[in-house]
Amino acid sequence: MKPSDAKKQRTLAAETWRRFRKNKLALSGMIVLLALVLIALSTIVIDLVTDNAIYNNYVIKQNLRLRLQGPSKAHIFGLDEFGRDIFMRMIWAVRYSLFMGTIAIALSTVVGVLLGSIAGYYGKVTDNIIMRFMDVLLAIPSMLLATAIVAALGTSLTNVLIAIAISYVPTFARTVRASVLTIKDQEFIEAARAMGASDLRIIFKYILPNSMAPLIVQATLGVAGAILSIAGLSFLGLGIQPPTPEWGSMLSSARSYIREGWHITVIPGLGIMITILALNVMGDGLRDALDPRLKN
Amino acid sequence: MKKMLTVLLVLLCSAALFAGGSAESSKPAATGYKDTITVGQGADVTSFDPHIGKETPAVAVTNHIFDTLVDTDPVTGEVVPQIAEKWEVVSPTSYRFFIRKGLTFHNGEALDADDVKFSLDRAIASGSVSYIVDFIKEVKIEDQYTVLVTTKAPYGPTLRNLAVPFAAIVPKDYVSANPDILKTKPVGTGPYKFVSWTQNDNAKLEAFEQYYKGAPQTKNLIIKVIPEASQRTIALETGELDIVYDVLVSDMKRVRENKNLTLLEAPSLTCFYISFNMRKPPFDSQLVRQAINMAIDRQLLVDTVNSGTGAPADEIIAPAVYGYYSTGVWEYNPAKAKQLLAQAGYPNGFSATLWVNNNQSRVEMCQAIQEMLREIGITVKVEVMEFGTFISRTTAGEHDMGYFGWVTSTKDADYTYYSLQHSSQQGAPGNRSFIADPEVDRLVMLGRTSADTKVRDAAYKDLAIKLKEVANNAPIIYTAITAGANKKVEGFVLDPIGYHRLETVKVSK
Repeated sequence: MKPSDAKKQRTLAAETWRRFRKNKLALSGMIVLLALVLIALSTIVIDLVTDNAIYNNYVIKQNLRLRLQGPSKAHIFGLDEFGRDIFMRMIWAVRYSLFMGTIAIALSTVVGVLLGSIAGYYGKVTDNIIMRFMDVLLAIPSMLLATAIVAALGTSLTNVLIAIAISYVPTFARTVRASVLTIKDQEFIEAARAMGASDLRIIFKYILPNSMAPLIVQATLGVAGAILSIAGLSFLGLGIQPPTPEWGSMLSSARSYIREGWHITVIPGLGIMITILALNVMGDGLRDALDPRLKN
Repeated sequence: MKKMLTVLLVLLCSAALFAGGSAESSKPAATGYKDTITVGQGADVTSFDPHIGKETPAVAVTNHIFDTLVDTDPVTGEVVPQIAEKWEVVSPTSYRFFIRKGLTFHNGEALDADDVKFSLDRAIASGSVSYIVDFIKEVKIEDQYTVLVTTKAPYGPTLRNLAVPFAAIVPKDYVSANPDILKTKPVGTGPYKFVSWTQNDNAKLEAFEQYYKGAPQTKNLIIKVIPEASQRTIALETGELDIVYDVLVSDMKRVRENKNLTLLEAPSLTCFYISFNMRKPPFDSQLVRQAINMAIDRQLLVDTVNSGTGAPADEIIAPAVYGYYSTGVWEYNPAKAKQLLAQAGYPNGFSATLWVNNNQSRVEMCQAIQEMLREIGITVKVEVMEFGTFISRTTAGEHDMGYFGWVTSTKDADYTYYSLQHSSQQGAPGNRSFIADPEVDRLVMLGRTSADTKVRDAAYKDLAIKLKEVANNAPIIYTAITAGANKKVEGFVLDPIGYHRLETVKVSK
């Protein structure tokens, strides 16, 4: 067997991974994210095992007498305005930022893919109705839209998720529609149709798998955006309610103490920054790895 | 071309600098005091008409333009003469006021009984401030300098209500000619006259030389609007302002530590408290309400969340208010609180919501209380809402617990007790614990309808003891009135009510 044959036999995933691996920056972004996922999962397990004992005694436990104390050996990130340990709060907050971002994007991906593929596949009036509605949604800045939705539905975890999911739907719908349009006229689709495959089968079995690449990239970058939106909503007091730790709300409630203690604003800010940066470099790496034009 | 422009700019700048410098030195340095006081506050005047603009930022300005029949001393809290030089209580329902002779308004009009009757009638008819004077049945002119005020029923707080700035005396002829004129060109008898107003920026006042107590110490008074509290502090630090009102709790330390500034604090008339909705279980249980009262460490809240300002509250009226009787701050005893909860049938606690409007310092207070209640097993969800929603939903009685603030602006206990504790005042007027207790009602009315201070004192003492037992509210803190001032400011006295008169203030250079 010649080496070139071996290369051809690689699956798309393996080929992408091979190229992704070469990008050190993207790789480090992925490592950071994996670490965050691990932290989030372990806090969930700890809460289940200890019946929230750690959460109650360390994360939301106040010690007002020691408020705003700077970093020390006992509290490496210092204490916040209620004397709560910032390190513990940062760790416990990971799950909200990361998982809520992921869930919100998963939701909007499902809806966006459905709408986008229907619009792209059927075209004409269907396309016009769906896409013009998406255009209307797109015309409103996503943060403003999410704020309006949360304000209308009331502040709760679920509503924040729904609001962010809705505000990201148009992006996914457009991405999917565009790739559906380029694929649906190709010969293998015509062949499938000639063999009597149903519309559903054609869309899900033949079109969507071939338009996965841009979707994956869009979703990775979307998670970054969604985390920022959740933090933003919490900052405005519309997201996660106290005393639940969340980076955005930690930042928001800390801002009036910025002149008294640097650590309580800087640390949640760094947390948000590092996560977003990791997601973005990983998303960029994925795009480069998936982009067919870069294939060697 | 560019170079020439630069040169020109540099020249202009230096010319400006030079001009500024010379202007500074040419000012007379003889007096040693500045001719202008500049004050900063957080919000703008809502209306210059004293019978409309009752909000603190408005009164902080109009207070200098208008006087009232009588006044309360900011330090002692006693009722003292102002436009009326003396008065007599003719019967429990009628008061005779003798008006100071020779008073003139800023426009030169002379003040007499006609103006007093017109002003009080106008205040009674006003939609905004009538609640402060609607106890009056009639104002009768007896002669040019005597009026007789009769009340609908014996009303203890009469004099204190007439001392509230909304009962201002305005010139009859000037106002009858154009009823809206006071909104833009206010004219009164106060120590300062109106000069100009730039909306959302500043109000300028000038000394009224013929003021009956003598002209104010400083010629000009400028009150600036700076909404952001930290910006106000910075303006004070840079010397742009001489005095700022409402220093942010988190900025207090900076003002205290700055050697050029002083932080003035005085007990306010404001109490923050939690109202339990007595219509909803488990808050219908007196034991539960007492348990919550006992689970809150008020001193700790004052020391930490409130940065050491204010004081732990034992009642919903502040010590500076007439009728205050100290029942002692609730003892902080979580173990006993747990016992009470168990007695009430909640050995494992329960879940409830605590509503608060979106004001950061109030939300922080609620978060700290949330944690204290968690220690005795009560899971509290703090829900933050916009002020309008908060008020309308608590008025409808939808809340479990609500975090409220109340200012006893007449400095008389009746103002607060009647609104917050009387069964007829449930909902919008103020009674959001929905208390309906015959004994409480009786004591409130006794204090309200008697002009005899001994009877009133006794009624309010009994009431305070009774209310502590009922525990329909959990008083949390008495806030402090704060102001930051430059060390050069002399003669500035804080009034617990929140608006201060500056006619005695001067600022050395």
